[in-house]
Order: sequence, then structure tokens, then C-alpha cells
Amino acid sequence: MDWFKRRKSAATEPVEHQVVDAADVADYAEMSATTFRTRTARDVLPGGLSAAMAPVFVVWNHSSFAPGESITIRNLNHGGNPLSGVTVLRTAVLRPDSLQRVEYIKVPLARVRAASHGQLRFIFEPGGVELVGGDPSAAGEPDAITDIVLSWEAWRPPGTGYSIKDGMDPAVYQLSMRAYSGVQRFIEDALQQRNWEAYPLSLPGGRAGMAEMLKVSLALGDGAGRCVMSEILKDADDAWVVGGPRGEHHGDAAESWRELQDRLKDAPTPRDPRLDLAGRSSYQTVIRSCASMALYQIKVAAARLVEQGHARPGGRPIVMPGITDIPEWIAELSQTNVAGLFLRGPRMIAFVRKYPGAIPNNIPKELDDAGLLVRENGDVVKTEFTIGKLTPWGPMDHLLIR
Amino acid sequence: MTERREFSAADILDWNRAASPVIRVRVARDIVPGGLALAMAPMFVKWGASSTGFGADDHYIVQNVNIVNNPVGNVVLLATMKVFAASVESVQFVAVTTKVRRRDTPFGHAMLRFIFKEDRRPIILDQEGRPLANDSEVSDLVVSWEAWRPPDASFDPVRGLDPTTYALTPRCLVGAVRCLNDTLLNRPWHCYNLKLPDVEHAPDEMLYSCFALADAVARQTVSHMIDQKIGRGVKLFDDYTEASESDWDAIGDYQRDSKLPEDPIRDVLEGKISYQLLERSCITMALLSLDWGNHRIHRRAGLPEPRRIAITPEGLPSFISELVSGERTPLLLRIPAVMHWVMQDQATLVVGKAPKALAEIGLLERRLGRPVRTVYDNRRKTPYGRLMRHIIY
Repeated sequence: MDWFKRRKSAATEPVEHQVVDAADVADYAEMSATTFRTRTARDVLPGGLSAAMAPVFVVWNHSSFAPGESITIRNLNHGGNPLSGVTVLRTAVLRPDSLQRVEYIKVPLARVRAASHGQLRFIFEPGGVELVGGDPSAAGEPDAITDIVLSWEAWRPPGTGYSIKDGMDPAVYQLSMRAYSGVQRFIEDALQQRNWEAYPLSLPGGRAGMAEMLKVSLALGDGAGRCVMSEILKDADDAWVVGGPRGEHHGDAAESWRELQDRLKDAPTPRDPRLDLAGRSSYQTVIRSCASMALYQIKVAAARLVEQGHARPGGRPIVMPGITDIPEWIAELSQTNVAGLFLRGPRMIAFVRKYPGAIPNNIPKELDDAGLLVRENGDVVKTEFTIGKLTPWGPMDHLLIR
Repeated sequence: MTERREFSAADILDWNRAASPVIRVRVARDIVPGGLALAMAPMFVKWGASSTGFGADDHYIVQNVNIVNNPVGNVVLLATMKVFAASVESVQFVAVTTKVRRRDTPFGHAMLRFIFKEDRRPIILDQEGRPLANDSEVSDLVVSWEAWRPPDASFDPVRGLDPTTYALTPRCLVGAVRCLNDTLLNRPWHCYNLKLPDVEHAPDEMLYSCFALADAVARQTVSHMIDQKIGRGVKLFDDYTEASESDWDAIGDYQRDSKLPEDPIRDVLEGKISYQLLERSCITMALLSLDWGNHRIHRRAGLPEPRRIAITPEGLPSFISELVSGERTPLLLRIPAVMHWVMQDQATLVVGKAPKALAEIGLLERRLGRPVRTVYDNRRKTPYGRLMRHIIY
């Protein structure tokens, strides 16, 4: 009980931040290092955003979006220990044609069950995900994973708690689409007593649809990540960087960061304007939240598949959720007091009725209404996974030494 | 049943001979000869590559330390570590309790936790014996005595009364790895700081004693297992390639011949190396390690003989072992006697009572007359800081 009395929000705890070494990041960017290990609570990028929350990037010169080809991604979170505060970002090769299933994962929050997080899980055949280097395995076999989770999150500095109210202002948080191995994300959720509700997606085109879903997701995540990184590195100031705890031997840190910034531009500009997140790369609690971005990417993929000639799911039209325009009155909610919240209440209710996808808990219904969820015997297929009983990788009894 | 992969005699011999092996293990699948889980393999000290004493460069090379474990991912990484002999900041007795319907109980597991000085932390070695490239240091190690069993066989306390059921394995784990496992199982850690005699290297001596005891038991367990469980002539699977007898003999001899630093450990154990819920459980072995370490500290410093920890009486009443094989009616008849015995010797069975045995001989730190205890209900706070500082999204 003492804990409740003494508890302070994460935001109020002093955290000594350290800017990650530009040389290390350059090694990582140039593929001479394939693993980046960060201290979750300490390491930041210039500008102060958490290094552990770095978005997924596509290594374009090692990737092809053509059928049968592979895509190399950076910043796949796999292998760290959340208790000791180490996040390990890995490089992986994905084979979209090896996808078996795509799921929308609803993660009800432990304390506020009315609220939830939304993310996409991609399940591959064995060999569909290959981790690249950076692993000390000897005897035994290489580390192997068969699923990844892509999750849109409010990118912020370490030690800064997430606030729904602050997130109403799109200037507060940036968007980061993070990539995790399924097992990594699952234990991080389990540690916070958050279960998974998995809804398999029914996409036009079957396996081709799943591959398209992955490609659309990566294009969106990579694009948003590059937009945000370009913005923050533009302001990277040498004094600020070198003034941090790093020594002088790191040289002209700002110049190194600027080189990295130039490298960020080595990405193709998407021809489909729906995939271009330039100017839309900030987080907003209602319009560009985890769940609404997941809904958006599913619907963009479905629409593209229909345009490619695949049958429309259930013959129903695909209504694209808006992620561009943020009404001023919604952004103002971040600054308002209780009275202001009450005054805007009716407007909010009307808004949510018009755009039910703005509420994360409504996303499965939205998807079902669009014919994008798998149904069996007339019911939506849904599996609940918990650490205590059934995990996506089997019953916990079989996995743990107890 | 999960598919099994048995490692060959040659593999095991190679690992034992290698300077600094790193082994990736699939928990549910990988087994050693005899069917026991490879993931639960005991720690060994490579005495030949270690240097005992408490000088600045003296160190132990410890094999089979569990350095990575994503319990959901079903993978364990057993690595080799260099542990400096003079490096221990403090030692803790950790009672890991089991919750029933969200309520803590006094039952559970016991282990020892060694917390190292910041500038003398153990180093994880790669296959070439060099420190790992990134973050090779760890802040603490846990030594845990467990019932070695096949993968996905859960621990059965009644069967554990029969000393022929389980082998005894002293496991060594990075603290945060063990903590992650217990946290996911919703098992709080109750940590008691040991109060050792105020003499130089007392905590280091405790580490040495614990490693020496664990290593001796590990070698005897493996040698015994090899003698008993080689299954010469027994074909476990259709595609099982029988190892040659010379392979198995080589392993047994290697384990037996490895030079141990001292032999009184064998006397302590009196040749008993199987797990037994009351005589050689996680709790009794942790207490035994501390008792022996404390005795060594006193002897080395020329202090008077310390009070000994009341562990289990020598030899168990026959009704305890009969309990395992008894039919239902005789079993019910024996229960009152067993309950009476257990009530008399609670410290060996009830982890919540074990600290009392340490407190009685003054081995625990006290504040305001009571043993100092820190409880990590790991869903909220951990020995490594607040969980919410380490998870971000």
C-alpha cells in the first residue's frame, strides 16, 4: 500500500539523458553494425526523443517491394530485458510472400479497460523473418522469430509519461511506428498486465493481400519516421550534442548527425498520396492515435488491393478514415480545464458518433463492418491471449520452467 | 508432446572442453541424455581457468550462466562469465513466494543473490573468451538450487519427497533474467540482506563457498546422471544415434577429474546429490550454502565457531519417504505425523519461514530489531528500478 502513497508519475522522475553516439548510429545506418543496444530510460536522439522508440526504417538499397523479394528493416525490437531497461534494436529481413496471417491486436489497458491500444501482428512461415547478425549464439541454432508487431506510438523523451489530454495537441508527440518481435511485445504487455485480443484480418487477395498489408505498413512507418527524424536532425546543434555527457573525441557530432539526415533522404517518395505522411507525422490522440493509424493502414491496403482488381470484401465500400485535418477544438482540449472539457463534451460525442473509429475499442467493429475481419459460423474470430494461460506461442505451462 | 532434441555426448563433451561456450537452448525441446531439460543445466566453475584467492585479478570462469531468457519466446542463452573473486558488494537471501488468487503465500522458492561492486561487475564472454561487444557487464547473479526435470514437467512437491524423482541442479542466472521469469509468473521477491562478519572479503568468501558447493554438486550430479542414465543399449527414439561408450566415459571422467578447490563439500553432501523436497531443496541448499560460507568466513578470520543454521535433521523419518509410494489409506494415516514433522521443521519447507533460521543466528541485517526485508512485487517495482521507467510506449 505504501507504494500508492509514494507513487510519482514517470514524468516527474529525474532521468539523466544521454544522446546516443552519432558514430554508433552511423555504423548502424551503414549496416556495419546490425544491432543497436540502448538504455531505455537514458538514451535519446538529438532533440530528446527516446532512442528506444526509434521507428522502423526500410533499408531501401537492400529491399525490393516486388513479388517474391525481401525487405530489410532496421529497429526491430527483439532480445532486450524490460526489467533491466535494455532495448535491443535489430536488423531483419522480411519475406512478405511468406506471410500466413495478419491480425489486428487490441490491447485493453489494465487500469482503464475502456481504453485500449491497437497494433498489427504479422505471422510468417518459418524462415519468413531472418535476423541479421549481432547475435552471440554458438551451439544450438540461430535466433528465430516468426512474427512481428507494428505499433504506432506517441514518440517522446524517456521518463515522459503518455497523457491522453496532452496528446490532443499535435505539437506534443511525434508518430513512431515501432517494430517488435511478437514475443518481445507480448512480455512487455504482460508485465503491465495487458492481454491481447487477436482478430485475424480478412484482406482482399488472400496471401497477396497480406503481403500488400505489410508493404503498406512499412511504407507508412518508414515515411513517418523519416519525416520526424529529418525535422529533429535539422535542429541538431553541435554545442547541444557535444555539450552532453559524451567526450570530445567524438568530433563534430552535429556534422555526423547532418550526414545521417542526408542519408534519411535516400528513400523513394511514395507515388500514392495515401502513403505519404509528410506533414502528418505528429501524434494526435483522436485523429492519429495508435488505433486510428492501424485502422488507416488496413483500409489503405484494402483500398489498394481493390484497385488492383481483387474482390471488395463483402462487396462493401471502404470508407477511408481521415488522418489529415485536426479540428481546432480538438487540439484545444490539451490546454483546457475541466469546465472546458465539459463544454466541449457534446461536440466530442457528436464527433465520435460520426467517426466511431476514433475510439480504439470500436476498431474491431469498424473492421468487421468493412468486411475485413475473419468470421466463422457467423461470428467474428477472436482469440484472447494472456501470460497466465494461453500465449500466441502455446500454453504458458509449456514455455516456462516453473 | 513437444518434439525433443537430445544433444549428443560429443556435443556435451565439446561444451565442457571449450574455453567459453555460449549455448542457445530451446526450453521445451532441448534435452540432455536421460531426458532432462538442457535449459536447467547446472553451472560449472572452470577451476583450471580460474584463480582462487581475493587478489585484484583473481576470478572464476563460470559456465552455463543463463544470460538471456524471453520466457514466452522459449529460448534460453547459457553463456560463460568471468566473475572477479573480490567483487561482491552484498549478498541477499531471496524468498520468491507464490500467489494464490492475488494473495501472497509463505510458500515458494529460495535462492541467493550476489550484488557486485559497480567497478567489479561480472563480464559475459563470447566464444573466444572476450567480453561481449555491448553491455557485457551484469550487476547481479542469482544462484538457485532446483529440481532438474524434463522440459514442461512441472515441479510436483509430493514426488519431490522421493529422492529418486529429481536430480539436483544448481543454476546460475543473471538477476534480471530470473526476475523477468518470476515477474511473468507473478511471484514477488522478498529480499533479505545478509549481515556477514565485519572482516575483509566476507561477501567474497560467501560467493566462493556458494560457487564451490554448486560446482561440486553439479559435477557429482552430472557424473551420477551419466553413470545411471546413459541408457547404454537403450534406444530412446527411432532416429536416436547411440553414443559410443567411450564418449560417455569421457564425459564422466572429465567431470570427475576436474580439479576441485577443496573437498569438504563432498563431506557436506555425504554423497547425496538428488533433489529431495526436505533434505536437499532450494531452501535447504541455499541455507546450507550460507551456513558453510559463514563457517569458512569465521575460520579464515580466526573468529570463534559461529552458530550453525538449523537446517534439516540428519536422516528423515521413514514415514516421509513412505508418503511418496503409499496407497491412499496408508497415506492418509501418515499425514498427521508428517504435518507434525513439518511444523517442527518449517524453515526447510516454507520459504516464508526460512529467514527466521538466518535471523536466529544473526545472519540478517536488522532495523528496529526486525530483519530488513525489501519486497519487490515486480509488476510495480523491481530491484532494477521502476518498471514503468524501463518500458516505454
